[in-house]
Formats: sequence, structure tokens, C-alpha cells
Amino acid sequence: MNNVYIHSKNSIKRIVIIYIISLIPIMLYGIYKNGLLIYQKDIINILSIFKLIYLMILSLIIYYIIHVIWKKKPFWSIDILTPIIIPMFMPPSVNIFIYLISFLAGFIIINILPNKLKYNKLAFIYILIMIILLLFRNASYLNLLEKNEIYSFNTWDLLWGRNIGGLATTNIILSLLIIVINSVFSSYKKSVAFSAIISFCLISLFLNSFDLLDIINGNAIISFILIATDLPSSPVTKNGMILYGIALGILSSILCKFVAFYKGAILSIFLISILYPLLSKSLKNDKIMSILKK
Amino acid sequence: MNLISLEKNPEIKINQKLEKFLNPDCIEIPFENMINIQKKYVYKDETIFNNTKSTISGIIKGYKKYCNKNKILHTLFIENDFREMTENKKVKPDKIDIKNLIKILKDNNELNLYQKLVNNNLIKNIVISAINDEPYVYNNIIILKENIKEILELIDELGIYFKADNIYLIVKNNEANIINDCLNELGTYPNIKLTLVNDEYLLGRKEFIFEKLKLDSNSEYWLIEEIYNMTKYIFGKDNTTKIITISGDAIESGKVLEVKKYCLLDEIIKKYIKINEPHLIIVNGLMGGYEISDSAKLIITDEIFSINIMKKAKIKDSECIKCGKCISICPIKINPLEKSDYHKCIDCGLCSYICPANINLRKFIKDSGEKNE
Repeated sequence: MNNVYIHSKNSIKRIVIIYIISLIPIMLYGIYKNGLLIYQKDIINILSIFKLIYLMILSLIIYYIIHVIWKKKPFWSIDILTPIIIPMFMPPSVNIFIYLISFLAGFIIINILPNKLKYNKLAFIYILIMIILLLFRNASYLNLLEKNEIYSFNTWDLLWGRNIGGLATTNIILSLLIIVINSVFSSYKKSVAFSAIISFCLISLFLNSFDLLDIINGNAIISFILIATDLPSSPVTKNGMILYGIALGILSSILCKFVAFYKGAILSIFLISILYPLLSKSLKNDKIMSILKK
Repeated sequence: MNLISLEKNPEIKINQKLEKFLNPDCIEIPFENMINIQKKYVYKDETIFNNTKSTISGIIKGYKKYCNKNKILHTLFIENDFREMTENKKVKPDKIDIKNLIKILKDNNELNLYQKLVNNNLIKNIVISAINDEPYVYNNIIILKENIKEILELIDELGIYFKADNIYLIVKNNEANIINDCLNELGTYPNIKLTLVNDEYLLGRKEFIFEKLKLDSNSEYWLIEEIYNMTKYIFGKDNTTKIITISGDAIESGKVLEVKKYCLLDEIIKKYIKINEPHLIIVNGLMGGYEISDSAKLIITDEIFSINIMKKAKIKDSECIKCGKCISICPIKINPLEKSDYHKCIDCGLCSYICPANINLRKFIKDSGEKNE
């Protein structure tokens, strides 16, 4: 049998653990912004500070029951990132019960759908949850402080996370740290993230009359960092990653401007993840290539 | 070109002193087509068939069946009389004569070495590599260490013969012992440039070291082992042995051994190696080698350079996570997810080494490439 009898330490378990470690700073900031700051104003009780953690624990229980017990797959798989990343993108006012039911439904669906289907599972679950939350009118991204008070933060404050967004998706500086940690120590498709961010920023600036706030607000940039770089659904070659990222940036900027400001980026990730394999096949088709060259 | 250093296993230790195993009980010489040998006694270094020489003197006991890489071959079984009887005595020449060496190589059917020496192309650079690409293999470096004077002398003569502008002696920069020895000896040979390179996998292959040193096609590449084989002819040394490394995490300490060609691995293991636990035997390197089921059936032929005895580890593969590491690390940039370019595979094993899902991509690409052909 032709095999290789030594292996690098770069196992799936290691990739997942490094990824989770890299998320800790931005999660802590999310708990501070959407928990501690509101608690200090006596608007919520002490237990509500850790809403993000509750959502994660509940999602992990669902993951364990479906993925490990039902599907008999290993615990340390790349899918474990779904119950960790999805709660970060939830609106601060999300109802835990509605979230739980919709996450369960989403996770069951992705486990029933055939493996051959290529789509971004994270984006799919997010969209499903957001549709359900919209039906219950529970999808506002403003936290209780932002609903009651008016702030005038400067760009630097917004970059450090005082903008409006999900439970742990507002700090853009710390989200860049995720790229650095994963690129250095693990497997991370940084070309997707960078090309998407750059193309999104350029087109959004143009569409929004060069207003920087429209880029910083919302979940777009961290969506490119955490959801677009999802390993199984994004391309594997460098050129493919760049092309995928550019397509994402273009579509996201359009959807964010004209369809849904907070959800546009993830919606475009879902659409591009479905369309990219078809686009990629078409580009390799000799007939189409010859027409394009003409 | 992004080459990587392979991660080292601290459990694998190797004694870097050359040990000798020159008295096997028997040897088995493999052959493909059935032959009929009438003789009953052979001398050491005596040609038996098709330029194949006996490496011991002894009695021909008969034929045996031998299995290597799932192919059945026949072997000629010779029992050692431990007398090392030879027909002709070798005479040590006073001076290295490359023209004479060419003639000797032709006479002894060493066609690879012969072709390299009669190459009429203009040679600007001569690259002599003391690197063994496979991890935990130290054959070239030990050969250089043990025979440094003769090897440097011949390298210098080759430089004069080819009128080469540069002669590079390539050594890994973590081989502290040999670097010191080379620096002591190289004063006598100012034309030879000691070139230190990082301990990176694949630098032991011609194309990669040429790219690293930015050398053009007017360069000739030699392994230290090839130079050593030529010194054997020049200095009348014993030409019936070869150097192998035996290492692994299932044995206490690895060894670099000079053994008789065509001796049996089983005999070497019984005499020299203490194996601790259930193990795998891997021939010719952990990256590019192959596994054998039974050490009793393995004969040390010219092609074999290392034996790794490794603990049986439970490595479970899982579904591909499409991280793209296999593509980014592949020196040829083969994409295992697409069925093109498989025939270009150089069988380096880096894709399997790096795969976090432990998928045996080396086998997959090789099998798919063979099917496409």
C-alpha cells in the first residue's frame, strides 16, 4: 500500500481548536458590548450578559445530538464551527426559544440534504433563522441601549466595535486578528476574505457616495472573514478563491445597498456558494472559453 | 517554490556511527528470467549471470521464491563459507585517472555512472549532493563522513576533467559534524564550494536543488553515493556492500549499516535491532516508500536504501474538508479534486503528509494517474 507514514500536526481537531481560540477576543467584546454595558445601565439582569454563551451551548447540544449521536460523525469535525459562529451573528434581541427551534430545523435540514449539494451551510442556517425571526418581528440588530439612546461615535470607535451588528460581529479590528491567527497557525482561506473585503469596500464606497460608515456598520466584513471562508463550500485554488471573493464583494455591496443592509452579505455568500461551481465548470468548458476569448 | 521542513518525531533516534554487517549466513540474488547455473561454488565478486556478482564466497544451494511489491521473483540461494574468497586481487592505483575509470565503469556495466562521465556537453557547474530526502535516512552524510578524503579527491578530479566553473558540495545546515569535517578538509580543494541548505524536503532531488541554487541546464548532478561507488572502483575497495539506514519509533535506536548486497533483512533485524511492539516495516522512506508484510522476504538489493520500523498507529481518515493545503503544498500544483495533471505527480507524498483529514492522496493520485494512462 502506497501511503505516507508521517503526518503533519495539522489535523482537523487542531484547525478547529485554533479557530475557536481566535474567536475568543471578539466573543468577549460581544459580551461586553451587548451584555455588560447594558447591565451597567440596569436594563438587563446579570444572567442576560451571557446570552451569546447560552446560544452557543444550546447550539452545541443540538450539534452533539444530531452530528455525533444521530449521524455518528466525529465530534471534532469542521461542522462544529456552525453552532459556534451562528450565535455570533444573531441580533442582540433574539428570542432564545425561537433561535433554538430555528437552529434545530436548519441543522436537521443540512444533515438530511445530500452531501453532493454544494452550498454554504453556515449561510443557509443563518438565512433560515433570520426568516423565522423576521416572521416573529424579532430580527432588529439594535441592542437595548442603541434603541433608547443616540450615540455619536467616530470611525475609530466604530472600527473597535461600537457599530450596530450581531451579538459578536461588530469589532472589525479584532475580526482582522482572526485572519492573522488562522493564517499563521492553521488552514484559512485568507484570499477569499481579502478579495471579498477589498471588492466590497471599493464598490460600497462608490454606491454610498464614499461614506465609510456604510461599510463599517453591519455584519458584512466579518461575514467575509467567518462565513465566506467556510472550508467545504469555498474554492480550493488560489485563483478560484480570489475570483470567489471578488464575486462575493460585488454581489454583497449591491444586496446590502438595495435589499437588506444587515443580511445582504450572508445572502450573497449563500447565492455565490451555489452559483460558483456552475460558474467554475462553465469557465473550464472549452466552447464557452472560446466564445469569451472572441 | 515553497518547500517545507518535515516535522520531526522526537521518538526516532539514530546512532550516526557506521556499523558493519558483512558476514551474513546467506544471500539471495533475485532474477526475473529462469536461469540454469551448473556451478556449485562461487567466489566473492564473481559474475554469476547478467553482470550480477556474488557478494560472498560460498556454495550455491538452489533456488527460492521471493516476493517484492506483489511480484513473484525467483532467487538464487548462496550459503556463505565466510572465507571471502576472490578470483582476482584488486590493485590500488597511485593516481586517479578519470579515463581509466570510464573504462572500468563500462566493463562493470555501471551504465548510469558511465553515461554521466562520457557526457560531452559543456558542464559549467557540478553539484554533489550529500542530502537524503527521506526523513531519518543518513546514508549520504555517513558515506561522506567516513570517506571524506577519497570523495573530495575524486570530486576535485571530476571538476578538472569537466573544466567546470563551480563545484558545489551540498550539505544540510543542521549536519554540524560533517560541516566541521568538510571545513577541515576543503582547504586542500579550493574549487569545491561547501553549500549549506535548509533542512527542507525535496532538496535532495536534482530539479529542486537546481532551482534553489538557480543553476541552468549546463550543470551535472551527482549523489555522494554515486561518487562513493566510483571511489570503490578507483581505490580497489570492496564493491559488494551497500549502506542502509534502519530507523523508526518502534526500535530503541536507529543505525546506519554497511551490509552485504543481497543479504536478508530478517537476518539484519535479528542480529542488530530490538523491536519493542507491534510494528510496520516501511522500505525506502516514510514519505515515498512502501510497506512490507514480512521482513523474511525482503532482500537488500541496490534499490533499497532505508528501512523504517514504525509503531502501528491508528490513523483514521475522514471526509475531505477542502482546505486546499494539498494544492498549495504540491510542488507541481496538482489539484486532487480535478482529474487532470495526475500523470505529472512526482510521488513525493507531501499531499498525504499535509492532509488534515488523513486521506491517502498519494495512493489516490497514483492510482487515478495509472487508470487514466
